[in-house]
Amino acid sequence: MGEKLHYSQVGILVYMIQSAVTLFSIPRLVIEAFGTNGWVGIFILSFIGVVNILLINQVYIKGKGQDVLDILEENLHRVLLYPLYICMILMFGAIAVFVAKYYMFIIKIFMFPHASSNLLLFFYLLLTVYMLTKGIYNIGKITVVFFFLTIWTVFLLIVALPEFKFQRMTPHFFQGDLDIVKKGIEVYVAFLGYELVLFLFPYMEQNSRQTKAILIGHLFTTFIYTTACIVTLGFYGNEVIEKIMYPIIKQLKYIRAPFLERMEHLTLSLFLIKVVITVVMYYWVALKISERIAPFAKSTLFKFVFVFSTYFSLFLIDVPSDLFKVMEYVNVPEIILSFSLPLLLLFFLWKNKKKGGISQ
Amino acid sequence: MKVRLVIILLFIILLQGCGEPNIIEDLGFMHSVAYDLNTENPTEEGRLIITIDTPQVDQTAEDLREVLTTKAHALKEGTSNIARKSDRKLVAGQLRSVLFNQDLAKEGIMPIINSLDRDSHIGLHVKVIVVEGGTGKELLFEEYSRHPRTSRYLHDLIDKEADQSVVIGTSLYQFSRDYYDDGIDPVCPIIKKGENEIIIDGIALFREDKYVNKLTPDESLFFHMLYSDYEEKNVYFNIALEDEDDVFTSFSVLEVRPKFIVTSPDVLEINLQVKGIIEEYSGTSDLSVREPKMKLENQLEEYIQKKSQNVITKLQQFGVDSIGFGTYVRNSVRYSEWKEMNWIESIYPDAQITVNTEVRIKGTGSIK
Repeated sequence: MGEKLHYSQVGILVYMIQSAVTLFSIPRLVIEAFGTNGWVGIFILSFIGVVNILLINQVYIKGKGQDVLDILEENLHRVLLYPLYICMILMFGAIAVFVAKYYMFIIKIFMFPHASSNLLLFFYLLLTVYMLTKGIYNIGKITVVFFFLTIWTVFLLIVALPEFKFQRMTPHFFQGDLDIVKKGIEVYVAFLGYELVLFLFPYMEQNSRQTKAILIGHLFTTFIYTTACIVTLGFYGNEVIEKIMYPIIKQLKYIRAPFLERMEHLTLSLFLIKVVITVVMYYWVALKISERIAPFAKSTLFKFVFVFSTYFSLFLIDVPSDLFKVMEYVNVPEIILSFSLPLLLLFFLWKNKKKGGISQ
Repeated sequence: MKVRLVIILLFIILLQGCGEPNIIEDLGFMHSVAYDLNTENPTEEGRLIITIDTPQVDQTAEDLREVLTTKAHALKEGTSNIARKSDRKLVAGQLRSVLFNQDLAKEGIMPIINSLDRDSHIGLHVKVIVVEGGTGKELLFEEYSRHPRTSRYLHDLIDKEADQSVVIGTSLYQFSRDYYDDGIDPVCPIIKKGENEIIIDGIALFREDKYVNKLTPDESLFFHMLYSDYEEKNVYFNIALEDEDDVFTSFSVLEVRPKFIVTSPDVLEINLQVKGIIEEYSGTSDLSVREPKMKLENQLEEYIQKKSQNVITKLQQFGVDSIGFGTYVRNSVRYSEWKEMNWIESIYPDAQITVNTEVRIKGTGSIK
């Protein structure tokens, strides 16, 4: 029963939640957002993420690893608490299903153009429900295994290096048509996922290395994104990337071995297990919060019903552009929540401490 | 109960595989596609002549391949016309080369390249080729008795020559990349039909996506030196030495490193470093001695310099920046300056581009 998430598991979990489908389009998104050599913008966004993680870390230290939901319940009246919970449940549930559906669209475009994305999603969510029933510690262990199963794909980018030319990167920075706010948000969303750590506090080993692990996980994501953007930029150049929907997948198409061609199919299939971690973790948090409102949320049946109700909410969307439109409604609230929730919790902790001090 | 449920679920999942069966004998793998311009009756029949070459996998078939052709206004119309002529399901996953005849290439090929690029089944390594003189249709329909599978013959020929540096083995990826890059124009190999053979006839030069002119195989050799650095390719050329009668030298190039220096947008310099070995020498000088070797190096330098300079002048006359000088100019000025200058049209044709060569003979074989 004394099982806890090791700090290395937490670090890997952060990376696995963060990097999902957006990775495929990030070289284009950074150019649309920041113009030429837009990859530099990743560092700016990553720094904002670091600030956010340090805030979350403060909650961990000040609250001594206390469950954030307990802190909220101690300080907020049900009238305010439950609407907040419901908003969070809906948001995290929506993000989970968006990511899963987005991945299915990509699979459909590149691998199974005639298959129904809803059917693919149905099977994918079955796997998700199965993982959810296994609990967070098993999810943590599976994440580590999945991490090592997928991480080698990064080295596939090296194969494109013979076509890499520095002059395609140009010495110009942040030039061209910039869309810093709208596209910048899309890029920043690729970093989100670390905020879920807030809900992992009671399951984490009490260790000062946890902060470092979360930061390393986040910086590793930054490293992967930046490397992917730089390699793609030298491979294609600014003008071409802007015209490609998923530059990374296109670049993987370049890989050719005497016995195997079209390596992108293999990589895309492997991403199935990478994306599933992101999806499972968002669902897991949504379900964890649901348990606070209704105790029956612990049952497998509820998990099944919850996951598939999100599935049916997107049933009629079968064009990627429609999905992007709906996703935009969640992106900004998610960013706001990732900052405001730790601040709110810190305020409550400060208030409690002050109250405790006075009563002493 | 649980086990039964798992088995049923597994069945449902595995049965999905039967949804879209692809039996290899029933598939027609398009290996080469040729697009030609229909000049005879374009308004009624369509402006494109589309020809496809698919290898035959049926053991009972007499021919090793099936070549089908049609006329159409648009690509998809052509594909469905051709599909009506074949009992097999035509798939593009194994496409290796696309051919364009000169007339069509002159009108621009990007709409076709784009639609190929859009198809997720088509790989990035598909070769883009221009057919000189005749049409791609004639070239694909022709039976080459020594090479019964024309498509494979064509593909291997280009691959081999790209290795040996006579041509640039331009793929779909390279063509569309250079088309969209504002500092370079795309190139691709150009071929023609010979007597019972296909001959590579140099490099086709494009301005944006429109064919402009070509470089001969001899010029292509020097173009390749300026185009990209390379190592260990089997490239050689013969030169007649100036001060000795009837003396020929074969110089095999091992390593080429071009370095671009931009003094101003209209003054550029290329320092070309060439290393190689002497493979044949019919003179009497002892090449292991420093002086004759240096003399030979100087002569080679002059020769390569002259030839490369001619290639550049030719490119400037055609108004095509196939080497990509524009990318170096773009990187040497401010972004706004580059966007305003319209380098390729107003500066490049009259730009002063000089080549400096440095040749090092790394060996003279086992004979002194």
